[in-house]
Amino acid sequence: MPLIPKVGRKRFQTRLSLFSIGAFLWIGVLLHLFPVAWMISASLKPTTEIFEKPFNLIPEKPTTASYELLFTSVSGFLSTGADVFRYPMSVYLINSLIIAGLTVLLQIPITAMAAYAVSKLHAPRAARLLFFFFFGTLMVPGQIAIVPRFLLLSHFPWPTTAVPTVPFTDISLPSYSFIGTYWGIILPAAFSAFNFLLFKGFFDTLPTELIEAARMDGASEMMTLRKVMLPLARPVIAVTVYFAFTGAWNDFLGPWIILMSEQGMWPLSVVIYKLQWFLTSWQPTQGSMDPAAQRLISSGVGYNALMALAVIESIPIFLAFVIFREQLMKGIQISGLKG
Amino acid sequence: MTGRSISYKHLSAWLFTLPGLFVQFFFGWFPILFAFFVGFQQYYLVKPPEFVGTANFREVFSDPLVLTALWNTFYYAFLAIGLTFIIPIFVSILLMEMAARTIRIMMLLWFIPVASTAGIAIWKYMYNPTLGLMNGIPTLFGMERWGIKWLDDPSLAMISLVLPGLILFGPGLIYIAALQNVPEELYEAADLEGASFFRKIRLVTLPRLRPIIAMMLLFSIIGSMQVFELPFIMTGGGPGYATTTVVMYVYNLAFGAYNLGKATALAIVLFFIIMTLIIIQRRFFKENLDD
Repeated sequence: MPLIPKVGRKRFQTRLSLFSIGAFLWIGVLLHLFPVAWMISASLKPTTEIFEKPFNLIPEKPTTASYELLFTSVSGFLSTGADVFRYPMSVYLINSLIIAGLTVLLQIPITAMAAYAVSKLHAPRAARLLFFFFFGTLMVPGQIAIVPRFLLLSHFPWPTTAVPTVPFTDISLPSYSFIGTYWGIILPAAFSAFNFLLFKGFFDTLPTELIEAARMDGASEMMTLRKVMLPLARPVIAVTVYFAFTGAWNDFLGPWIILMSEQGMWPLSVVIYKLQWFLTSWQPTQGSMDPAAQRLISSGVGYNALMALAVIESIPIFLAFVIFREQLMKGIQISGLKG
Repeated sequence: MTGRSISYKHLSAWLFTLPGLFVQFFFGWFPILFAFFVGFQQYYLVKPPEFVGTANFREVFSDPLVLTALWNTFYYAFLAIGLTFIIPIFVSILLMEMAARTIRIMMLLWFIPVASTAGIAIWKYMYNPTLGLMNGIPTLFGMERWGIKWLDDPSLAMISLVLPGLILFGPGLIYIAALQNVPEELYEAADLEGASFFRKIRLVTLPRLRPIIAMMLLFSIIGSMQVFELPFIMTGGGPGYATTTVVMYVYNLAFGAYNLGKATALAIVLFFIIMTLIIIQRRFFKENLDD
């Protein structure tokens, strides 16, 4: 509303400019929806159509064959890349759900409690220091931590390739390897600096009198947080849960490094990369293709299967969007960056 | 208040903080600080690491691939920020001109999400020279198909990585939220003075968005200088080394060549480059106009 004045809305020029802005925006909406539609359309094509009529917008003979193929497992010798078919996709789907679900369950309470304490409970000086401690990692390029974090996770809590020993003995100090476990992905995501900012920005807007009143009534700090603060914080919780869930669901590098050798634990983000890699490294003209790849291609693994997998990977994200859309649409406001 | 209630309050404050403190220390700050130790060590698979001074850094600076990766990273960041950063700002401003109901419908459709690796896979398919739609679009209109090789063409590969962000223009949630907070009276006052459409954007809207734009620019610099997933999945760094970015090379050195020391030394170099860019950005683009 604001840029084009309310008076004179009937003037031709005003109407023309409003119309062209609307047209431009609708084009953007359609362009955004097109790849989604293309993904769904391609996932329903039979393999022959993918190769013979690659640019059909609507499948001539729609089929769910790709989806059925993805949910069966292929046994026998499989070359690299094709070996994603050793497990049906339901295995990978469950892995993704475990990782994303546990991340949400750990990250949201830990982050919310820290943000609440910094916003309402700590003395001003401690609060300011803790604030920078908690959100500062956002302002620093995190790639520097890739290798040290991997070292740390492989001999937690010792960040070296060799675990130190108890002084003057040969007994190694206790250590635990998170490599090849879900915890290697979930623990580093158990706190989110970004969601911390969202939570703190929200708690800052709540009046302190609320807490004082609860304390007068003899409520413990935990009770105050659970019974007074969290019900009010429902919109922020929705937004942070959405970000935590999609963040964990979309994470690729974490599972790729941590679960590299544990195929049975891979999430969908890794599997879709593997399948895509298998498809592009294979060329139709290539005569000397290994038998496993040949077998898979002839049983219908093409871009239709890849797109079907993309649809499967996107459905939970889409459902999360549908559930949390109202809160997301209200917009996220990051306030209190100044501490 | 009695002394006892104060200490109880502090105790619970620290109890609430403790889990976050633990995670943020071990997985947030500690690996960042420890990198400055790893960068000066030679790592072996089973033996304890060995201090090697600046050897890793000398190796980094004498490696011609590092220069290529740095160039690619700057090129990507330049394209990504130069071409796509301002798009959501202006689309959000224009979106605000629509009726409330239209805004709602448009936003719902616009923010329909696709999982990120799924989205990359879609574009990889789109770019396929023979089966992909990017070359097939002319055939939909009965023309010859374009023979563009997109990701397989070294001179086009990097642009192809950025192109989806340019084609799929859309608003940004954060900008929309900020725009809703701009008081209507400011526009009315500007109307009374006869300010034009673009003048109002320049004098009313943009100054109000400035803190958010500054912050998003910062995140966008940090993010695009560290791009990994997009080139890793789309091109694997190729053709040749045309899209090998620094973080990808760090990954290759660490998990391909198991040269953890050199990988971290390179990561430290990139760290300081990005920190320098951040300082420059903050000096030239103050968040608050009053400063």
